[in-house]
Amino acid sequence: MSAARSEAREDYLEDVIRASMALAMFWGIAAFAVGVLIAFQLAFPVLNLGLEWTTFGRLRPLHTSAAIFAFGGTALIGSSFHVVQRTCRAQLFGGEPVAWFVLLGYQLFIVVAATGYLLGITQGREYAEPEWYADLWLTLVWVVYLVAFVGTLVKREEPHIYVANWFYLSFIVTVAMLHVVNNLAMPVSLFGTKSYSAFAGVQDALTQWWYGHNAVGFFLTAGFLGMMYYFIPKAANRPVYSYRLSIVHFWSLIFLYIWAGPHHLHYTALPEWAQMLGMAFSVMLWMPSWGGMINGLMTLSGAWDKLRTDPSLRFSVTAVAFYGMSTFEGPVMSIRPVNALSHYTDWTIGHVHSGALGWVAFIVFGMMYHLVPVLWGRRDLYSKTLAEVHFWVSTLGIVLYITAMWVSGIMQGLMWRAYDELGFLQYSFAETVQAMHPFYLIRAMGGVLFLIGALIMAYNLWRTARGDVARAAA
Amino acid sequence: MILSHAKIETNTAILLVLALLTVVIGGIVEIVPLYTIETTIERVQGVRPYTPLELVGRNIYIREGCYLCHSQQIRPFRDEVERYGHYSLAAESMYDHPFQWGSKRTGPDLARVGGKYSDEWHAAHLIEPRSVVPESIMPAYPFLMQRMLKTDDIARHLQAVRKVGVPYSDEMIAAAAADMEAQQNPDADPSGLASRYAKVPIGAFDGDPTRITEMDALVAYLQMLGTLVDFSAVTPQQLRQ
Amino acid sequence: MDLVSLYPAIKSLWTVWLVLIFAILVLRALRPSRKQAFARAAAIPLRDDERRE
Repeated sequence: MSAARSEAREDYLEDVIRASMALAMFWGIAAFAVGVLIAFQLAFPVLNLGLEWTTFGRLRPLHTSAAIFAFGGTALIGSSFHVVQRTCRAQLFGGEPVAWFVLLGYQLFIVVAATGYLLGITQGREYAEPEWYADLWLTLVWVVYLVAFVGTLVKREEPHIYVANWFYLSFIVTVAMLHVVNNLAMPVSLFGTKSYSAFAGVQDALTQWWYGHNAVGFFLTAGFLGMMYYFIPKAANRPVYSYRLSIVHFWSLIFLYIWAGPHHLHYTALPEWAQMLGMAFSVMLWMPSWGGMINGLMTLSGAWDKLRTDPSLRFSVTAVAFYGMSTFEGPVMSIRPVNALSHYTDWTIGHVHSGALGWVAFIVFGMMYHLVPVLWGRRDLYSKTLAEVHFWVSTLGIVLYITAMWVSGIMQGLMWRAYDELGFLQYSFAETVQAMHPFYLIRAMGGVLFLIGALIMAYNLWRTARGDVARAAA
Repeated sequence: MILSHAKIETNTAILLVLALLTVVIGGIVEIVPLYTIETTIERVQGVRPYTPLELVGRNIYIREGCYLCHSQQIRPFRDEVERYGHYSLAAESMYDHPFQWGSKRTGPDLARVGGKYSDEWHAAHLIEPRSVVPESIMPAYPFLMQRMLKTDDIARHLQAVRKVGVPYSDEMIAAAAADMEAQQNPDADPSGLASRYAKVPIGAFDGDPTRITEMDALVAYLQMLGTLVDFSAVTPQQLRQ
Repeated sequence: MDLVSLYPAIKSLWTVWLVLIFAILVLRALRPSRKQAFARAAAIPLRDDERRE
C-alpha cells in the first residue's frame, strides 16, 4: 500500500498548476495596470483618449473582470488543483486532458469576455458582463471543473476530506448555480452578440445582487478561505488552530451569506422586508467571518517569529487581517442608516478594494510565494528582500487607496445631503465631483504602488523559477 | 444505503448535496416571493414599453457602461428628492431587461433626467462634456454623431424583448422600423408612433432629421427617463408595495 | 390556496428547517468524540511531503 501511495504521489499533475501560476501573475498585473489607468481617468478625463474602446465605461468591466475572474479565478483553479491532489493523495480526476481543458477553457472565456468589453459587448450587469455565448462556454468549463474536483475527492486515498476542500467545493458549486441563474437571457439572434435579460426591473435587481453578493461570498471569500486553510498551516508547518472552528466557520458562512444580497439595494424600490432580511443576515455574518480570521491568525500562535522570515506567511497573515477588517466594515455598511450615507459613494469602492487588494490579492501573493518554489523544485525564493519590498510597497498602496476612498466617500455623501441656512441644497453635483479630485489622485498613486509591487513579485518569481538565488546582501 | 453520522464528512456525495441544498434554499426563499407577490410593483399608470429608438438608445447606454457611474434609482430622502425628483418606483423599471439602477454615482442620478435639459444640451454634452459642465470628468462620446443606425433588425430586438415578457403588440413590431425613423424626424407624421407609445418625445435629437445616428437614439432614451408616470395623479394608496 | 397565501407558512418552515440543519451540523462539529478524527484531518497538509528532491 505504501508503494502504491508513493507512486500516486509521483503522479500529481503539476504542469497545469505551474501554468496557472504564470497566468495568474500575468492577469494580476493586467488587472492592476487597467485599474491604475481608469483611476487616472477619473482624475484626468482627457485620458479617456476620445476613443470608444478606451473610455472608463468600457475599461471598468475589463478591470473588475481581470481582477476577479482572470487573476482571482486562475489562482483559485490552480491552487485548488494543487490542494485537492495533495490532501487527497490522488491525481486529479481525468488527468492531464481534463486539467488543461479547465485551465485553458477558462482562459478562453476570459479573453472572449475581455475583448468583448472593449468592443462594447456587455450584458450591462455588474460583475456579470459577459454575453450569452461566453456564459454558455463558461458553464461547460465550470461543469468539467466540478467533475474533476469531485472526482478527485471521490477517489482520494486519505480517509478525511481536508477542510480547505470544503471551501473550494462550495465555491465551485455555488458559482455554478449563481452563474446559470443570473445569466438567463434571450439572445436576439444565434449569430449576434446581444441578448436581453430574462428578468426585469426589481426582480432583475434582486437576482443580480443575489448573484453579485454571493460572488463576493463564494468566489472572493469561500474560495480564498480554502487557500488560507491550506497554505497558512502549510507555510507555518503547524495544523490549523482549531479544526472544529473551521467547520463551524464553513457552515455558518454558507448559511448566512446567501441571504445578505439585498443590502446592495437599501432604500430602493425593493420591498422593505427584503431589505431588512438582507441587513439582518449581513450583520450576523460578522461572527463567522471573525471566527475564520481568528482561526487563521491563531494558527501562528507559538510561531510568530516566522512572520519575519517567511514572506509567504507575512502576506497570508496580513491578508487575514484585512479579511477581518473588511468583514467588519461590510456589516457596518449594510446597516441602513450607514448605507444611506455610504451607498453610491467611493466608500463602497474603498471597501471593495480593502477586500480585493488586502484580502484576495494578498492571500494569492502568499500562496504564490510559497507554491512557486515548491512547484519548480527550488529550495527558496530568489530574493526574500525583494519580497519584503513588495510587501511594504503594496501595503502602503492599499493604505493610500482605502483612506483616500474613505475620505472622498464620506465627504461626497455629506456634501450631497448638505443644506445651506436658507434651506436649499448647498452643493451642485458638479461641485461634489470637483471636490473628489485630490482623493482620486491619492487613490491612483496607491494603485501605482500596488502595481509596482506586483511587478517586483513577477520578477522575483521568474528568477525563482529559473533557479537563481540572490546574494544575501542584495 | 444508510450512512452513520461518523461517515458524513468522509462522504463526498452527501457533502455536495448538503452544500447545494443550503445555498439553493437560501436563494429560493430570497428571490421567489418577488415573483409571486403582486404587491412588489405599485399600481401606477403610464409605464409603457420603450419605443424602438429608445430601446436602441438604451442598448447604447448599456454598451458604453453608463451604469457604472450613473444610477437610475432615487432613494426616498429629502435631498435626493429635491435634487433628482420623486423617488423611484419599482413599476418604473418593470420593462427594463436588464435593470440599470446602478450602484455608484460618480455622475448624478439619471432616473428622471428626461426633459430637464434640451436635446441640444445633451448632444453637446455627450460630444464634449466639459463644453457645458467644466467640472465634469465624464468621457467624451463624439463618435455617437458619426455612427449611423440601421432599422432593419430592430423588429428582431422587439421580438426578443417580447419573449422575456414585455407586451409589444404585433402592430408595434410591424411598425418598429418606421417608428424608429419617425421619432427623430419632427417633420414626419407622429400620429402612428404617438398612438402606440404614450408621451413619446419626438425631435431631431442630434440636430439632423435626415439621418438616424446613435446620438439620436441615446438622447431619445435620456429624454424619456422618468417621465412616464404622472405623479400629480398618483394616490398614496397606489404607492403601497 | 395559492402560492402567495402559503408563502408565510413555507417561509417559517424553511427557517425552522435551516436552523435545525445548522444546529445538527454545529453540534456534530463540537462533539468531544470527534477530537481524534479532527486532529488527524488537521494534520493532512503537514503529511504531504512536497519537496521532491
